[in-house]
Amino acid sequence: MLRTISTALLIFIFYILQCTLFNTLSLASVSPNLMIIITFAIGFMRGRKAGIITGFFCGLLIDCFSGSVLGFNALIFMYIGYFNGVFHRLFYDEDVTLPLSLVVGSDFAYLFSFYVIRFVLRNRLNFGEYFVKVMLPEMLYTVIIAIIMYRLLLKWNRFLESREQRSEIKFD
Amino acid sequence: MKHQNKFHFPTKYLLAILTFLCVIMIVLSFIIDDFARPVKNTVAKIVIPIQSGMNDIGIWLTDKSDNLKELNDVMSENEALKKELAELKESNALSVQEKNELQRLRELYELDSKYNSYSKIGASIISKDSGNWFSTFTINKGAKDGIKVDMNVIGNGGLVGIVAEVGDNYSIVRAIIDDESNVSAQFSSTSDECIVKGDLMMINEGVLSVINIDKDAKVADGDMIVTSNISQKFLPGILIGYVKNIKDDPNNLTKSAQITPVVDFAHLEEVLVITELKDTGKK
Repeated sequence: MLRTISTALLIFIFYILQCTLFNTLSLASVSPNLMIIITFAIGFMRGRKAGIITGFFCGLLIDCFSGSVLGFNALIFMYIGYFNGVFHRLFYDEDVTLPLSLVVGSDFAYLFSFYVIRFVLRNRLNFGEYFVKVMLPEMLYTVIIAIIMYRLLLKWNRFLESREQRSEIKFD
Repeated sequence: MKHQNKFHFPTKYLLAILTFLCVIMIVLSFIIDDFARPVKNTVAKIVIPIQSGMNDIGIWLTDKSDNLKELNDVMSENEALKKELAELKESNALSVQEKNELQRLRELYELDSKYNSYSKIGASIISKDSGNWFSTFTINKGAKDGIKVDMNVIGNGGLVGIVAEVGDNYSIVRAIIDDESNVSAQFSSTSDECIVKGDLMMINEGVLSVINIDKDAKVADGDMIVTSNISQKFLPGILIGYVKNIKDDPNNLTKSAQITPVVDFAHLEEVLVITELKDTGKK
């Protein structure tokens, strides 16, 4: 119960932060993708099902304010959450390389599918330029923020896990 | 016992069901125009006030830190300012003359009075689009304040964009620098038509591209571009910016150029929404 509520709150806070605070902290008119970070983190830490649900709601929240079709971001984010959940088997606390490469992979997958659907279909085909000017900066910035955020999210996850274990022992 | 009662829903089904749901939502939003309106409005009721609050906190914090910085700077600045004052007194005499000249020119400038005749609502920008691909932003006025889709948005004395979507207490504005934005425009001096197009690749240089200028148009760098009379959605005569880098297109029929908008999009905080819609003659 506590987990569900705190996760929902976290998604919400991340979205607000992304639209306000990180927007003013943008470098070279690019801001980091916090929604990718949280979808990845929960999928990776909690498994496929949690990843799917988190991704779905993250995407839906973006859809509500991006003015485009409802469900499009939700679909992409959901699969990103799912694939990060597949790597849950390899999850252990101290590892850094795998999580960071997963963030990069997730962000690239999101940006690429977005590019294909919203830009290629309008005949904007110079992928190289879009890659260098939009995708690469966003991926770099996202990874840097992810290093900090992932630590905090790990602490949050550990706290919840220890709490759940305690209550299980109590009631059984 | 307790744990065995717990029903375990297979992940595969969950994924399939949610995928199906997403696809249905996508299809429905294409078929039905305002399909997502109720959902969006409900979410907006929670999100928009918080975003406004966050914005106020941000502005308050920057004010405070600015105050502290200023205190330190003020002492050293005071010295420098005294010196500057002497110099400025001199140059002031010159600028008074120039000001008089400017006033006369402004009176000739009919465009200014054109803006004033439109009724406007002020609004402040509370958040930007969450991704890095598009340049849309949210303002804190919506249908309740009389804002409708396709209303023009101005600020800093020039065209900012157009209202793309309206909720009860918010609306989303597509800036003219957005990659999907196309504005039908004209040169104010010669009335030659052209299209002003946003381009993601040029945003960092602070310019937009201008296409479809007639090859024989007698235009030069620095000419003023305003919205066109024949535009479907934009009211005529709103200043967009000044043109530069005019060159002939390879097809030898048209010219293209770049335009520097008068609006400083990076530091925009307040905008005005013109509450008049373009009268296109059809209802």
